[in-house]
Amino acid sequence: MSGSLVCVGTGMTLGAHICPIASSYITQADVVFSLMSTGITERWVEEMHEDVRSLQPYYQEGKNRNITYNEMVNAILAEVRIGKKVTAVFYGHPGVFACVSHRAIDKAKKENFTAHMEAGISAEDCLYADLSIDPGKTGCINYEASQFMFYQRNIDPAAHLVLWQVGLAGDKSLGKFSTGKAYRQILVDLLLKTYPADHKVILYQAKVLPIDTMRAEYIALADLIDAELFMHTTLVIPPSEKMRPNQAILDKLAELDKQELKSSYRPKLTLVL
Amino acid sequence: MSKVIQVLEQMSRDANGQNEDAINNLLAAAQLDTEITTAIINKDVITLERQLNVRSDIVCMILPAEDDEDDEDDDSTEITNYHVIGF
Repeated sequence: MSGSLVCVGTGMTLGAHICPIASSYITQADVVFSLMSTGITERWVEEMHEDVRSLQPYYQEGKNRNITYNEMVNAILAEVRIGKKVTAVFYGHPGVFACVSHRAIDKAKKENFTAHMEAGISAEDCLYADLSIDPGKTGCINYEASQFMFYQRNIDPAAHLVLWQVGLAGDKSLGKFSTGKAYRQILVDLLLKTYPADHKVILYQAKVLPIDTMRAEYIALADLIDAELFMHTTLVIPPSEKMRPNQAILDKLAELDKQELKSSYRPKLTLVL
Repeated sequence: MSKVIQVLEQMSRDANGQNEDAINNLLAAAQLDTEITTAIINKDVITLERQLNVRSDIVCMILPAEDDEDDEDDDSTEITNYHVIGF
């Protein structure tokens, strides 16, 4: 029997978001691996199948998370290699801001195993609904908070900026579970180059349990330094400026429109044979 | 599936699941332990976790800021085209 891998997501809220195909892959697997965001949702998945193995024990404070993630991938692949039908379950969307699923699928495919991913409802999806943001209205750009700090990125103040894992912004070691005020100060200083200090930003946390309350806390950007941040807190920065027209492109398009209009006034010629 | 997980699932799935009367009816029918029932009514996640004896030291980060994946056999730049044209 040849092993296989499918990565599925449970969505964010226990029981509310999981799709039928994800449930089916969980119940029909030989082995299930889980990486959930709370102990209760982890228990929920454990109760769907008799052999559910949590990937949580691989995490360790002080240990580089890239090592942790590769260990998780190896645990998953070991079962695929011995011919098991493996389902890896992740909270939210299995492939959005989640590297383990992508790494595991890539590796399985390279070893000629069948592997694929099923979409799930991500934290980003919940964010749009909970905060009434339409990313199509002015645009929306997402970054992992530390990566946003480490590299030169262009900020568009006319679009939404969403920074994920802001609670550990600036952690170069990849071994911390949170970073302190000094790290956040650097992030705020970086953002202050584009946004005013009193610009209202949102601290967002999606609802995971039906008894949870969604967090949408509006604070001034400068107050981010002292704000209460958790691993699952996301920073949402609404636009601070209006979109500015790109006049050069608009002029070119107007010229095209004019030419098309002119050609439509010409008499229509019919080829007579 | 345990009763308490069933109750939480039902609260999430039902459009009326957040209605106070619906929650009370659900909890009355489920006959859960008093502490668990109280934790659900009070939306007390910490007590509920303790009562269920679930893992409390959960880490929820699955993305590194910098990806230094073990790339001993990395050929990720290779793009495979799976599109098939049918005739």
